[in-house]
Amino acid sequence: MDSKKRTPPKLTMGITTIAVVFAVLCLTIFAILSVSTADSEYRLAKKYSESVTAYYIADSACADIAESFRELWESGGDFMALSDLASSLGAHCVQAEGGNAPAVISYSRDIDSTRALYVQLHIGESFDIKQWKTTPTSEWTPDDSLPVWTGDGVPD
Amino acid sequence: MRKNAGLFDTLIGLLIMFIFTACILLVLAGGARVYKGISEELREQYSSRTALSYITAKLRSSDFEGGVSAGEIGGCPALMMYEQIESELYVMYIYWYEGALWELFCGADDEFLPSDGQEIMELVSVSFEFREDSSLIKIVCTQENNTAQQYVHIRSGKAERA
Amino acid sequence: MKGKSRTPLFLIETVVMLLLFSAFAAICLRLFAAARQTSRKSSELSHAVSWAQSAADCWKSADADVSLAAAILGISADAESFSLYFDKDWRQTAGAGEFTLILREDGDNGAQIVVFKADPSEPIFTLRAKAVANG
Repeated sequence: MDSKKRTPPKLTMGITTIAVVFAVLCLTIFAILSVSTADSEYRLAKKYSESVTAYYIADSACADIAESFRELWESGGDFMALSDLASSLGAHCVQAEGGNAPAVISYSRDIDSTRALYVQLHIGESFDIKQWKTTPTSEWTPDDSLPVWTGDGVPD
Repeated sequence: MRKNAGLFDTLIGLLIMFIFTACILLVLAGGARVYKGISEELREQYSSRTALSYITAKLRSSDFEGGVSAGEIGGCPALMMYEQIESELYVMYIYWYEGALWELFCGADDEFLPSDGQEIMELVSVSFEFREDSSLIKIVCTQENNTAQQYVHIRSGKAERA
Repeated sequence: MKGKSRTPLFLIETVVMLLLFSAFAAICLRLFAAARQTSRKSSELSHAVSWAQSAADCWKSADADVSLAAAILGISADAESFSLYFDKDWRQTAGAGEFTLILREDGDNGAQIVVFKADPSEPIFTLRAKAVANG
């Protein structure tokens, strides 16, 4: 006969270890998530700032060219002078159809690998900036590949 | 007396364990709060920044004479960007409707409802204001806890000889 | 005979776990602080980029007229520059704030925009814009 009662096993040993392991696991996950979220957000912000800087560099370059044409127009330059200036600056210059037609000058400057800034000026009685817009320089092709296993490597 | 000492030891041990557990839970709660704060701040910032940069990019790709105007669609503030494709005039509408920024591309003469467009992202409100003889647009995007604004200059236009 | 009390063992275990947890918690708290700092940096950069673009476009729209550009933004200007001040939430303030944007003309129809926190020599973002007269 067992006179001694079996005491239920005490739960106090080891529980601290379990609690600390759990807490450290949770803290580590939170910390890693925080760092990676903040990091990826910063990389996105940096990329956007570089994109804006590139746009303004191209914008300034196009503004310089437009300013050269404007100065020539203000000093009374004719179509031939505008055409010569366009050639020297790498722009296209054509005469629009019709009497007293303005000279149509167009040029573009790359912003980055996917965009360019396209400018079109009409210079005649007035100096018109007809277009000053960003255009894509590469076509976006969606990745619709679907890697499907075709059974290669299976012995017959 | 030995029994009392044993009981006292157990009580002390349990007390220490509870205090320790409470401290651990406090630290965990603090860590969770920090993570929640960071991700909420980034989420809000992301919404207004993305909306502004999206609208700015659209405006800059439509910067030609007569290419941009502001108005309303069904009482909702809207930006209209025109495009000529093979002698047909098309319009890209960017507008606010029912708590979100929407986009719709259709013919200039087509009739449509605001719900026909495509929802871009959630926004509490957005407004478009032309200033300075239509060469400057002020865009204001409002999120739950912040408001972001940006001015975009439209270069295309006419100049007279000085 | 009663068994030995397990309390001393438990207390030793608690102390050891406390020390280990303190060490891990210190490392994780440093990571939290770094994440908070990075998040603040990205927020500052985003706002700086947005306001720099706004200042540049207002100035271009005003045909390189600094005072007109400043009037659009609701502030006053010097002969060749204006300054915008922002609080910690990037709301415009009248006087000196936590962040400053300065637009300064640098001749030849160009302007330099700098956004900084405390030290202009460590800018958050810089931009250069050019105007086309009457364009």
